[in-house]
Amino acid sequence: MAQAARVRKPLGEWRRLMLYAGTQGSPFAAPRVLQLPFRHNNPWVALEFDSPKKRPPAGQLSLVLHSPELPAAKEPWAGLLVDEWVELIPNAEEDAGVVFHYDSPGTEAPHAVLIAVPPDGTESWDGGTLLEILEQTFDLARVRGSDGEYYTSGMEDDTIQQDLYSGNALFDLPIPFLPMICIAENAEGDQISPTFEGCLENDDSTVAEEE
Amino acid sequence: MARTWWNRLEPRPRSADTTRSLEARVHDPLWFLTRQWQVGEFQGEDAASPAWVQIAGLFSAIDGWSPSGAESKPFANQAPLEALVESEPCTPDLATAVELGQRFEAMLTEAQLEREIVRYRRHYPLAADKALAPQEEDLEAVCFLRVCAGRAINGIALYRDKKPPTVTKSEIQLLEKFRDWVRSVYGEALTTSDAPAWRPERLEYGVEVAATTPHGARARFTAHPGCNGQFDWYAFDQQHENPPGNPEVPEPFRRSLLPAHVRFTGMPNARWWQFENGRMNISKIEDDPRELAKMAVSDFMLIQSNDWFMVPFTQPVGSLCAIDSLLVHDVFGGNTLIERADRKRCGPHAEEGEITESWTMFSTTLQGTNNRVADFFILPPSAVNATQDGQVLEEVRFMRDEMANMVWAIEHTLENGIGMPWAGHERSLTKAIREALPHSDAPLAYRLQNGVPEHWIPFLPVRTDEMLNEVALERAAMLRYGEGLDEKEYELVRPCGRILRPTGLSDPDLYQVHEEEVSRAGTRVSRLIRRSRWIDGSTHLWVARRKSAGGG
Repeated sequence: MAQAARVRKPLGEWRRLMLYAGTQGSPFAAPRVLQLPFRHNNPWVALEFDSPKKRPPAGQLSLVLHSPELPAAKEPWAGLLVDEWVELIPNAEEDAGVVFHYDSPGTEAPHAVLIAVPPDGTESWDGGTLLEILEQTFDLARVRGSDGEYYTSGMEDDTIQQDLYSGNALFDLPIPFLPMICIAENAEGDQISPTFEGCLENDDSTVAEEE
Repeated sequence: MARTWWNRLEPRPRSADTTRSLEARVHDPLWFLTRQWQVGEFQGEDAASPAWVQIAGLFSAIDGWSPSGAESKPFANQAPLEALVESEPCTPDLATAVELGQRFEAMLTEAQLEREIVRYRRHYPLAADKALAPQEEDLEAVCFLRVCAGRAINGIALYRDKKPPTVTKSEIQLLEKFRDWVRSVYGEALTTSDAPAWRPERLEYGVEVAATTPHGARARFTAHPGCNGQFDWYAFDQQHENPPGNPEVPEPFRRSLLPAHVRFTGMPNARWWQFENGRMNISKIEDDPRELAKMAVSDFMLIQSNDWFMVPFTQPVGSLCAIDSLLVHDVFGGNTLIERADRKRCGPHAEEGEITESWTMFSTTLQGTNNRVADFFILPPSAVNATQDGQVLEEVRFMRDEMANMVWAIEHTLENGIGMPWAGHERSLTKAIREALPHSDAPLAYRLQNGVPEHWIPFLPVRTDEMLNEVALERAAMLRYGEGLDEKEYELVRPCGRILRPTGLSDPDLYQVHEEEVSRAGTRVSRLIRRSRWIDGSTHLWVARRKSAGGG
């Protein structure tokens, strides 16, 4: 308490009052300590403990009362709150961390549950059918990503091509000139040319770059 | 030669604004799969998730400390390092004297020796102690003394007195008990001496710490406390020359732990459909090539974070830890040995085995080497969060006066006779400045210059080294033409506080501060009381000093 009075301002004022009271011949009664929650033979949290096992658990409430008589536990009582603070006892061991770099796979579980139903006439599952269903689902997922208007307008690829080159805007929006990527294509390999064949047909979605 | 065709890839907007597409709307289940495919979550990789980690390494402890250049004292985690380094005792003032006196009176009363109180009060009167007696201008202390004089024991005198007027055996026992209590609350000494580690010419603490490294060598570290006096891991630099000694190699430890992704608050999530913290605006991060730390953090959280893992690791306070091996077991049963980042050989001379560009964090610098680092981590014995700071008791502001080519040290705040802060300005107001005016019958007198306040102490530049042209600031004094003194008589205005009167000087009248310690913006040095608990529950009370810039 004498130490805390030097760093806590309200307690510092209280200390001064106590000093004046002491010199005027009416010293305050010795303070009483109350601690909650109640445990038998529990030492006061403000005291030093001999072994780490005796460390007080967190969340204890300790009250120091300057009162001539102890209030009865079952009756309400009132007092003047001088000061309050949270007291921290540092840990003997602290949590540090060790960080390392490790190539973790970027794959994640799918967000949808696929309920596969055996095709008509099949009585038992086989691996091939299941694989086919999976592949079909992924194909559908890729198709799902394309633009709806593109298909519903009922236009063929050629129409779009023509519209683009004739400057006849297919959509109401202006076509940006930049950014765009120009990619060379040379059937005999005279020039570096990427091929898009794989991406349209197979599962391999990576564009074979600069072969 | 075949003809070359050109394919053109163009972005094609479907609407004028991007709000809808940024909303990340949810549709049918197939849409979820599409999005996952688009962000690459179905991309097969030749990798496996880490399941658990085995760590092997060594612990060793910090076992000694000393003020710079002094002999090492043992350290066994008995107190926070701050409390030992900044071990400046509380000023013995009137209030403390009365407090201690009343404590002894209470002890006497408890032992039913009340009648002895009067004898002690007479033997240790409060007013007679010149060291505690207030200066006339300290009004609070004067009032306090008026109330308490004759009604209290001077507890400090009682504590210090080697030959107390004790009569009975019980009184001697009581006095011993009283001294133990004072020691436990205020420490060994109640004096005005500085902490041994305080270097007045630098206005900072100089500390060295000794330890055994985890690999069994002796090492000394130079410690630089942070701006709040805390010792964090980066406060330590290992010295080049290590003292000899053959301590025991500590026992190695092995731990198996579960890794988790490295995450911090505000970090963006790795996946598409996750909600992020709305308070974090990642697009507001402005990248500036000069702000390396910011760029490193944004690079880490946006690009690298998925491949970094962390294992929680408990380390005793005040210890050094070296990790020798880290083995990752993945979910497919494979093992990967992770190499230390600071041991990786890269850079232009990598093949010759020279470490030139190893990148590391949280490593201790080895002084005198070319950017080499120690291979252990220091967890310092520092009570950072558990410390309570009191009011600033004393503050001195050093500021430059470019016109006069000197420095003023202003005692902005002082500690008064009862241990409370006291504005230096108020103190100077109580002393009327009387200029030396020649007696004259002239009806008008012109004042050419007004006086310097009492709490402004001049520091003059003096040359300390003719060859190197080094300059230091030396404490000087203003002259006071006091009341009752003759016109030609004067006295020197001395500083009042403890900062400007360091006790560790060989010549108490010669106080020099290194010139570079007072910056253009000014330097502020303050004293405050701190209290802290420690890992064994013990309490520590000490006075700390802080240096900061500004206030000039």
